[in-house]
Amino acid sequence: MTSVPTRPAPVSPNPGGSDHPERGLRGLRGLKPLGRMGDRVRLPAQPFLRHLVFFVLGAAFFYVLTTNVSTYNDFQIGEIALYAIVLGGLSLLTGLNGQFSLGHGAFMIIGAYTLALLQLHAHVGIVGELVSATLIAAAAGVIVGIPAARLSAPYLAGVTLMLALALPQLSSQYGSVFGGEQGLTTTPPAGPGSINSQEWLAWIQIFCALLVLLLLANLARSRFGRAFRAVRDDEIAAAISGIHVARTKVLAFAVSAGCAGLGGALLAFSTGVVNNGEFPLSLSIALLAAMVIGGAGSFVGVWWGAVALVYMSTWSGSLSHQFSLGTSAAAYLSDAIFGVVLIVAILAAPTGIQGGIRWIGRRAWRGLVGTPLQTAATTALVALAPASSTETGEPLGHRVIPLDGPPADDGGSRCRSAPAGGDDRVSGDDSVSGDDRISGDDRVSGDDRASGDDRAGGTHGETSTVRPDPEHEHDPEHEHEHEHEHEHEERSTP
Amino acid sequence: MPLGLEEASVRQAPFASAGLEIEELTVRFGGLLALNDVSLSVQPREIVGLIGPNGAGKTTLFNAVSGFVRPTRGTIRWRGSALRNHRPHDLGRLGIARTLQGVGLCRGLSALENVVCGAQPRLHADLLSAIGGLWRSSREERQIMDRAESLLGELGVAEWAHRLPDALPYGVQKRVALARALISEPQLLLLDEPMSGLSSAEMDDLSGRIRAQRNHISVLVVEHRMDFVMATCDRIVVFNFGEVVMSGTPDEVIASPEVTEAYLGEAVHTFDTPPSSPAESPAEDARERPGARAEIRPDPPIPGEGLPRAQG
Repeated sequence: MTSVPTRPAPVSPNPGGSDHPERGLRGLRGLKPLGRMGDRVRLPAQPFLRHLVFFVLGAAFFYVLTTNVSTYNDFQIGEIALYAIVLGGLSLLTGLNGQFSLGHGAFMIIGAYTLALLQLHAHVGIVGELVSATLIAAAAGVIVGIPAARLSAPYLAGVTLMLALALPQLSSQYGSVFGGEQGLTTTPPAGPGSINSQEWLAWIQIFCALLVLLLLANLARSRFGRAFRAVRDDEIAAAISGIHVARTKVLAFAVSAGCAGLGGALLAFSTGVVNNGEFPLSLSIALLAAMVIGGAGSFVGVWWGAVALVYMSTWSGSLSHQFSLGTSAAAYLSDAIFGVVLIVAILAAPTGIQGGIRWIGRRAWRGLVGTPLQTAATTALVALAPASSTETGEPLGHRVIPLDGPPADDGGSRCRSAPAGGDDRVSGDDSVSGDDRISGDDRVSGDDRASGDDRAGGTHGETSTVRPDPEHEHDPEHEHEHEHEHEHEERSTP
Repeated sequence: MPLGLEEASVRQAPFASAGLEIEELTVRFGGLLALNDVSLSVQPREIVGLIGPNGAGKTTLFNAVSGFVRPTRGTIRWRGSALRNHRPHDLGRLGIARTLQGVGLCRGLSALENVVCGAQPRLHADLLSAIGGLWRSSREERQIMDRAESLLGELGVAEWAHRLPDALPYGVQKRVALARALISEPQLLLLDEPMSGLSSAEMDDLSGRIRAQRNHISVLVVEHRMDFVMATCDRIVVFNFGEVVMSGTPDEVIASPEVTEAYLGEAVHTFDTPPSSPAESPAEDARERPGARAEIRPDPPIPGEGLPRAQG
C-alpha cells in the first residue's frame, strides 16, 4: 500500500484520455489472447447512438416476429411490450434509485382510465391520449413521490401497497364517471389500409416500448441517472455532492409512474375495457416480481420479465387444463408458479435473467478465446461496428467494461448484493451492470468483480504491486474486440 | 497545477469579505449540548485544524456548517452572508465542499462516477435533453468526465477510475473522496478526518496535496493525527465538551499547558508517566515535536479529569 501514494503523478500525458484513432486497428492486428485479467470492452462512444442501434434492431426484430406469427401471438407480443414499459419504469425506480413500489398497478389504472375518459369525452388522437395518460400518471407519481421520498423502504412499500388497494375503490365510488364495476370501454386504434388491427396495435405497443426504453436508457446515462444511483447508494454522500436527494427521488418516482401510466393505457387498448378487475393487487406484486426476474436496473432484462408476466398465466392455464384442475385452481397455480420462478431466479441468477445471460455469455466468450471462430467473429464485428467509437476522442476509461467472466467467488458477491429484503442492493452492482450498454456507467461494476477481485482480496501491499504495467493499463487491443463481441451478445438478447 | 481550481475562478473568487465566520454557535440535541457558544473563523487561504477528543463537537460543527444540523443559536457566515436555511445539497453552489468521516463513497458507482457526482451543482443539462440523449447533455457529460479523470490523475489514482470503491485500497478511496470534493471547485473545503486509516507515507502524500490547495481555498480540517495537524495547519482550534478551549498556531497550542492538560492527556512534562487511559490505541500515532515538552497522544478517550463542565 505504501507504494501507492508515493507513486509519481500519472504517467499519461493526457489525463483526459483522448483516444488514439489507431488503437482499434492495432487491436485487430495484435489479437492477443483474450480473457486475461484486465481485458476490457470499449463501447461505442455516443450513448444516444448506441441506444438508437438497439431501438432499430429491436424494431426490426419485432417487425419480423409479428408478421410471421398468428394474430393471437401478436396480441401477446403487444402485451409483452406494454409490460416491458411498466417494468422499465419499475426497474429504474428500484434498480437505479433504490425505491420500492408495491402499487404500480395503481399508476396503470390511472393511465388506463385517462385513456378511456379521453376517448369518451375528448378526441385528441392516439398520440394525445397516450401522452396524456403518461403525464397524468407521472403527476400522480409526483404526488405519491413527495411523501415517498421521506420514507424508508418498509414504509414506502406500505404506502404504495395502500395506493394499489385504495385507488380501485375510487372508480366504484364514482361510478358515474368511471363506469362502476363494468368500467369503460376503449376503442383500439384502427390501422391504415388493410393492416390487421391486432397487428397494428402490437406495433404501436412495441414502438412505445422501444421508444420508452430508449429514453429511459438515455436518462440513466445522464446526470440524472447518476444522481439516481448515488441516492440509492448513499443519501448523505449524494447530498454533500450537491444532489437534491428528495427531488431526485420524486423525479424517479414520477418517471416510473409515467411509464406505468403509459403501460396501463396500452393495456386498455388490448383489453378493450377498463375496470378494476383488470388491475388486481396481484398485478402490482407480479410486476415487482417480474422486474426482479428480469434483472433490476436492466432495461434489456425487462423483456424477460415481461415475457414471464404474460406467458406465466397462459402456461399455468394450459397446465391446469392438462391436469384437469378447476378454473379457480388455475388462477392460483399461476401465482404459485410465478413465486417458484421468482425464487429460482433469485437463487440461480440473483441479477435476474439478464445478469445470468451476460454471465453465461462471458463464460462462453472465454471458452472461445484463441480459437479461429473467435478471431473470425471479432473481425466481423469490428468491421460492422460504427466508426464513431474511435473518432470522438472520448476518454478511454468510462466506456470500458471487462468481459472476463466473474471469478469463482462471484456467487458470494452476488448474494451479498441481492438480499431478499430488497433494499437498494437488490439492484446492486451486478444487476445494474447486467445491462451495461443501457444503464450506462454501471458497467464498471463487472470490472471490479472480474479483475478487481484479487486486488480487493489481497493485502494492500500486494495491491500496489498489482498495478497494471503500462502495456496492460492502456491495453487498447483487447478493448475493441470485446466491445463488439459484446454488441453481438446484446443483439441476440431480444 | 492547482487541484480542482482553474486560474480564472481563483481570480474571480470573492475573497474580499472574510471566509467562514462562526459566531456563538450553539447546537443542542435535546438535553445534550453538543456545541456551546463556539466562535471561530477560517480566513481565506488558511488551513485551520479542529482537534479535540471524540464527542467534543467537531463533527457537529461540520454538520452545522454543511446544513445537516440547524444551530440552536448563533450564526454561520460565509463570505459575508449568513447561512441560515441552507441544505447540504446547497453547499456546492455556495462554494463549500465537504468530505465525510470514513470514506462516504457511493458503492454502486465507479470511482470516476463518484467524482463526477461532486460536480452535480455545475451541471445544467435539463431533463428533456437528458431523456432525449441530446448533444447538450452528452457533451456536458463528456466534459465533466474528462475533468474528473484528470483530477483523479492529479491525485495519482487515475488507474483506479473505473473500479468500484469497494475494490480500492483505503488510501485510494480517501483520495477519490477528496477528488469528489475538489471537482466542485470549492473555496472552502471541510475535511472530516481525512487521514484516518492511512499509513504515514500516504498521510505525508495527502497532506502535501492538501497544502498545495492553500493558495486557492480555505480548509477546515478535523483530524486526530497530531503529526498531520501540526505540520499542515496554520491555526489550530482545540475543542472539548462542545466548547473552544483555545485557538492558536501549532506552536502555541503545543506550548499551552491548558491544552495539554485538557486534551492531550495527563502525560505532561514528563515521559515516565504511564498513559492514563488503558483504551489508548497503539495504532494511532504519537509524535514528539522538537521543542515541545508534552507527549502528544491523539484522541484519547475523553479525559475524566478534563475541564469539568456542567453539561446541559
